[in-house]
Amino acid sequence: MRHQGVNQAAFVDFYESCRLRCLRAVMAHGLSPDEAEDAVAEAFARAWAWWPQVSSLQSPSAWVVRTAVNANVSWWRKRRREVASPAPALRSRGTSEPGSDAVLLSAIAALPPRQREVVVLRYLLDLDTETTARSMAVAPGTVKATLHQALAALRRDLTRAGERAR
Amino acid sequence: MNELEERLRGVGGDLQLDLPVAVVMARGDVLRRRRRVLQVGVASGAVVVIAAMSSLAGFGGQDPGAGPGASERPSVAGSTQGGEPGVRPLSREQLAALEGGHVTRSEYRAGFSRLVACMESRGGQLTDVHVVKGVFEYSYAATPANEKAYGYCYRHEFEQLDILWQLAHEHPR
Repeated sequence: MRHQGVNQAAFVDFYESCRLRCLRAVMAHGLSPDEAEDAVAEAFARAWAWWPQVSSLQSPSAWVVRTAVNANVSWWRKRRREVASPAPALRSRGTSEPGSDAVLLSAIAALPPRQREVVVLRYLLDLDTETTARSMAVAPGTVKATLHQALAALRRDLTRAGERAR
Repeated sequence: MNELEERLRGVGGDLQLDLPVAVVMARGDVLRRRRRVLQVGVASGAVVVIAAMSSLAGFGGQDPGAGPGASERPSVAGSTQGGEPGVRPLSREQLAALEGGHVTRSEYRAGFSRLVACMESRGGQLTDVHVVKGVFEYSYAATPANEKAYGYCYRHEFEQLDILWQLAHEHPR
């Protein structure tokens, strides 16, 4: 039986509109595409299980990403094995060329945790500064300063990656 | 907006996640039922909980008339909590802390301490541990030992406490 009195359509809209943003945000934490897919699936399932509470949060998508990164995802891995011919649910170019998304995601994953979090929230989840600040429990000015440091670090790393490739 | 910021906003733009929402919701329904059984069971005694959780292992998630996605509902065989055969799904301490459906700060912290101890006892280790507004944040190196230990210990000692605590301490809209 589905939740009594729970807005199912709202969850479907949330899932459809946020799943890819959440997926790339989780990949930016260093998970492989398969791991990220499993983790995001489990986190969205938990979001549905606790939807009355999750939907009232400042940023449900940030909750999904945090849950996905923290959660054990063995259930989905088992399910993947049980499916006879699983169609690949996630595809990516996944190249390691300097300008590729894979390199950029790796660079984000290599940032210190706070810098990574602010990049994920601001750019990958597209939250504004105020919402990002509340989600991280810091002042908006701290978000801006941390973001400035993160972008500088990313520029350095990407430049080095480009030089190594030449 | 500069080039890097543009790239960040567009990164992963070609990713696809084709998992149907019905499958996700079916899994969520299983989790919600399990939580309800857990709460009822805690109120009636841990023995009842363990029996109920054990029965869920063979429940299979099949619930005719469960709405969209019922036919796609995957089996939960093998999804019993704990991840190791013959091991109780949740620790006695976590079950006790869940009683009443409210998690106190000391229960949350004790649960995290048990997670750390459990990890260490199984050859794993959490790193980058810090607290943000009362919520533990951490990571672990992606080694087989860590992943195996975390897969067991998070669920056994901390998962339900972590979820309830975070839900209670996120910023409401």
